[in-house]
Amino acid sequence: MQKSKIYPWYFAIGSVLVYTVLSVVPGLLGIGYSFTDWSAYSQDLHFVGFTNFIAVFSGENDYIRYISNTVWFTFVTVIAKTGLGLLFAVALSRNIKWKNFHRGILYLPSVLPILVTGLVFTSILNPKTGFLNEFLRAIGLEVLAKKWLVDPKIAFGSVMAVDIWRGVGYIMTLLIAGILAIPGIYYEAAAIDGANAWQRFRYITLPMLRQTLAVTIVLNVIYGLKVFDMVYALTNGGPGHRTEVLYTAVYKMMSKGLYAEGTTISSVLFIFMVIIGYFMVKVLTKDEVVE
Amino acid sequence: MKKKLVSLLLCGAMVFSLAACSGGGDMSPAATDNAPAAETGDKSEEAPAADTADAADAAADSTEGADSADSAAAGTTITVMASQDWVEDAEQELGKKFEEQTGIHVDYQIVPADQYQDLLLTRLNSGEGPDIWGAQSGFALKTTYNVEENAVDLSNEPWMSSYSKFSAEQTGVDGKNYGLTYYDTTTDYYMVYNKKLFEAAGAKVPTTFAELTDTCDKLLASGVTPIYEPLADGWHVLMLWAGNGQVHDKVEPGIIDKLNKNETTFAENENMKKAIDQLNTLAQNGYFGDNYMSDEFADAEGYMASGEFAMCNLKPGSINKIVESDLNKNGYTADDFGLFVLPICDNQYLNIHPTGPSRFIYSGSKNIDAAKQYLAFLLEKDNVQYLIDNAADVENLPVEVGQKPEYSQTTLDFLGSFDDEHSGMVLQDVILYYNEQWMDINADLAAMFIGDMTSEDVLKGIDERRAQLAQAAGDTNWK
Repeated sequence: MQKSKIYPWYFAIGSVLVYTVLSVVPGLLGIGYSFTDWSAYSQDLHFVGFTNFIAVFSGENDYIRYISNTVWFTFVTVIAKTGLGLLFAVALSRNIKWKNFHRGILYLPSVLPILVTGLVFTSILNPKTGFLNEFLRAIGLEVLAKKWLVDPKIAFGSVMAVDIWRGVGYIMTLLIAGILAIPGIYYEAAAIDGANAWQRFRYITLPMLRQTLAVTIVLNVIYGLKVFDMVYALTNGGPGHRTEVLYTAVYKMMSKGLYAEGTTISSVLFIFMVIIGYFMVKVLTKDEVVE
Repeated sequence: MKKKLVSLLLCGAMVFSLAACSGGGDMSPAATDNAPAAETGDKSEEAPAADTADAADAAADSTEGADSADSAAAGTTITVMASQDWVEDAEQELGKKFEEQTGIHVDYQIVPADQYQDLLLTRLNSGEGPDIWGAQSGFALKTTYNVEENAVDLSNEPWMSSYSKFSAEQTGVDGKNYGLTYYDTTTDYYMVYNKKLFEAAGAKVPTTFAELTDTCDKLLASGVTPIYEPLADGWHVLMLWAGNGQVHDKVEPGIIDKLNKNETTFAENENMKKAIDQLNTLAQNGYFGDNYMSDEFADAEGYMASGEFAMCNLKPGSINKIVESDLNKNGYTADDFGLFVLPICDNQYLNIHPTGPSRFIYSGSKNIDAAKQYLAFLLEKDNVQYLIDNAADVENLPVEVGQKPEYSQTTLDFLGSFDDEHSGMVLQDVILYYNEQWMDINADLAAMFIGDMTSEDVLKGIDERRAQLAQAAGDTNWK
């Protein structure tokens, strides 16, 4: 019997119904509102066609920059979180001293609310009075003291760095779970065959972690595209509009009562995420064994 | 068990270390301070002399107002949501007194200035408003805050008889009053300058923009940063233009009317461009210092007291806070500070600005009676006087309940040096769809300072947002 036939189809009705009502319908309604002039200033609703979408993609506004900022943020944080997370996971899945202590230290930032982290780092990274620059000056490295969140050249990098610091522990934890699930017998066999550490990692750990990596990457990509609170708390889109991302723009539109414009940007992101998510799952799980 | 203990200790250590890291370098003066836009009411009506014949009646009315709202139950908690500089410490003390008298607890929800408007509007638009919310009075009440829907009509409150007519006009829409301006709107923001630092640098009070740059250059040469300009809060820098924008109507009569009828735009106005370019010059020449992008308004008095900066756009009452600051190690007295209008576009007209941070009762609140009782309590004579006496930068409030204002001689002399001919309303009080985008314009100005936008882009952005807001509001001039 095929695995997919174990349960009758009507077992899924409940969850499909809940998912449809709570996720699909609001999503479609949101897309529908993108074609109107919905706002807080008028009770009437008019169909305006693609006007809002044209405004987003016309290049007259800064939306293209916000889209590219969002994509860049996603790209950098996914690479860094996955790379560092994997590095720490491999290191901390071995029998090293104080293993759990190190895991705890790396995981702790993920526990803190993002807004709290953002506010704390706003203070730490203050160029004049912040802890980081004070520390650098105290040890004679004044040349490294930067205007972390207000220098247009490095502000977005600082935001990404704080986000990576916060998120890497969570990814590491998922990957440790994945590594610990790999049967030790493979490593023993490889060791008997003379495989070195890199070969064991390349030919055993990495392939066996593919499913876990697929999950963490998809989670990271979706988080990156939806990023809001970290940017909001650290820079609120500044200096100027240099670190503005799509959801900070949506938030500002919505708070101004320009609901249709906000919904349009949100819909663009929604469609983008569905497409990206679909292909990523497809690519990352292409060798998955179907029982 | 051991592992759990270690985990708990780790959590504690982490939170503690983060909190410790965040605590350093506080330049904030002890008291909070006043906010974004403030306001000079009509000098002839609200002038420093204050005591009026009906003061006693007004005070009595106000007290009566508190009595009439006794229906609010003790044990209730009302929330007051405001931007970070809008609630004085003295008001919070009054809140405690109010709780002692009525049993109603006041929960002040104070939000960072750069996030306040977005957060408030999100709450209002989603039907989750606080019992009392703060907002700048003026045009934006109708367009941005939809005050007719989101606030309770306060036209028949007993304290209306003592409330300034000018302020009532700014907190009202279509003849109804929805708010109470609880802020010193009898003066506006002017350049507060350190006379000793000017004298030491051989600089004089400028009356033209050319003189301003000369003054700043001399101050820089003497080792003093000329202007404290806090951009981090996202609202202050625009006042350097809008708060001196009365000059535009003086040199180009009728320009405001044309802008409001959509017969012209900001982008095509040379004087507006000149003003923005001059702001950029101040930033690019280093007159704001190295750290202005992360400087905060709350630190303004402290830095002025330290002698590190020579001037800042502040309320005249702030001079008291500068003098009282812990960072005043130079022994500055109030006489060491003076006032002048910033000569952007050579402006020499006094800025009149009768709008300011005001309080509104949320129409969806379950505690409307308690909220009304709180507003009435604030306007009792003793409580108005308490605020004036205990909030260093508040010299008066736009009410007449028999209080004794505390204008300094510097303020009186400065205001007295302008007649009606040489006074004018600030831009945000006379131009439609301008105040609504206050934070956006500030962000654009910051973008210009870092080279991401030009002055043309900034002005074009203002026009585009005005069109967007006007069309959403169904303004026929933008059809």
